[in-house]
Amino acid sequence: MEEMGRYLSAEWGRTVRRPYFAAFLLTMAGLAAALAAFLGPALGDLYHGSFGESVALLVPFLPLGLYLAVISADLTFCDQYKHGTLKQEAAYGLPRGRIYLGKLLTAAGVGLLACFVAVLAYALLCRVWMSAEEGDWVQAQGLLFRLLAAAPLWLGALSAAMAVLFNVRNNTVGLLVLAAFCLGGLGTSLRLAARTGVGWLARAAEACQALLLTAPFHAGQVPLWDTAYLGWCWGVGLLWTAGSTLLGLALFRGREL
Amino acid sequence: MLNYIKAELWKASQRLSLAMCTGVLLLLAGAYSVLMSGGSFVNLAASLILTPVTGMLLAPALVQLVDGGGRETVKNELSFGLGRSTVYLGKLFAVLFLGYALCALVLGVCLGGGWVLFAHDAPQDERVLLAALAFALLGALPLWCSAASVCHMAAMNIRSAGVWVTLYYMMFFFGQPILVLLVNLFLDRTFSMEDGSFLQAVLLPYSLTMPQYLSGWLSWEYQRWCWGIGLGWTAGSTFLGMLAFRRQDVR
Repeated sequence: MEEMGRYLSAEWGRTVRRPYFAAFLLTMAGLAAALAAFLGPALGDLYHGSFGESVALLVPFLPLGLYLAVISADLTFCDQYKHGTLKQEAAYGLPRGRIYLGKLLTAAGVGLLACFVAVLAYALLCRVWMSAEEGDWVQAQGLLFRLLAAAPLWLGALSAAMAVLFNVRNNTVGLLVLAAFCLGGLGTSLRLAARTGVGWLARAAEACQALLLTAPFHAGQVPLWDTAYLGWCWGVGLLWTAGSTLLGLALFRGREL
Repeated sequence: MLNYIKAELWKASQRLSLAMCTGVLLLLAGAYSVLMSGGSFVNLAASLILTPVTGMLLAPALVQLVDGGGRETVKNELSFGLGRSTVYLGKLFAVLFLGYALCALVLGVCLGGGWVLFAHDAPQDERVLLAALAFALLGALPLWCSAASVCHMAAMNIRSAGVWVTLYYMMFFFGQPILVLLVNLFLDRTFSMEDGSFLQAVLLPYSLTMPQYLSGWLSWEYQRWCWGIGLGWTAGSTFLGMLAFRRQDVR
């Protein structure tokens, strides 16, 4: 446990010192501020939303977190095969499980921090620029609910990205396939498969669609604190997290560095 | 410049990724053709009309085939004395050539194979649909060009390929709903929806390859939009990309 704690602090220290990290956080905060500024001062009289409504506007942006999770993973992992860091860590005697999980947890931390910074910046600026109204707290709860539902899905995407980064030598190709298919194209391919008219294929495709990371985001309006929806999100997210971590770790253990 | 392009193409042809990419594409195209057409050539032509959007999806992969791992070689090329414009534009032309060649190959295999193997049960419709397919491809050519230019600009200027590839797909899959949300906040109070859809086509060129634009699109206005927007993005991204590349300290 202690050693894991030390490894985590080493990984975290290494990650925050990279200019990429600061750039990522600043970009997230900047984009959030830009959105708030667009809705507030820029649109001026054309936008009549209250604080609550503006905060609720963040909900359609939550699927972007899937891709930002992949970027967080890339940021933490950063070309370690090219630089030979992994080889050195393994040669030093660190167990592969600790290396894998340590980097995974660090990447999750980076992603959560970036999300927190962005949401905070947006909420603060909205509080300053938008009018306060009665329904504000309910709307804010709505955002918190959707964030809670989105977190496991983001973690799923992050875990899949880490599994790819650890095991596919050419990181870019791996991430390309992940970003293009698992996070997007798979949904389209399954929809196509569902329409082909081949019975078992169509049924299997429809069943698989509910298990995609992007599926819960397309649910539209969800009742506040709906446990069924939360269950669905956490189920899918944990499935992807556990599945990709187990697979990625198993492959990484067998790998010759 | 021609020599440089030939060299880049030769370099790309030596990569295993190109062979794998071509193989996977042919396999997927074959499966799509068989499953969606049900063995009828006329249905094949109809279902191929919806496929130009895959070119937009493949742009990062194509750019990576030429530009991937180029960071080290670019230093050598520049110290050898090749101009930065030659390097940038040469690689861009290589990407475009590769892309169009792959497209010709895949479509050729699908249509050729289909013409030979599938049933010709509606010959009078075939010519109409093939003409429509040609029309769709004509509109797609500049759009693919714009996607390749943007990805090339990113590849030559952003160190981490993972970042821009991820952002590209993020914009592709989620850019449109977000844009529609933002635009509806603003435009539906002042402008008409027509202006809204033009704005969407300008900001997200790939949407011109999507079905919603394709209904009622057999008009020269559609071609004007495609070529105007496509060439505009190409010119803009190439200009910005070269500007940034010139100032870069290639170490």
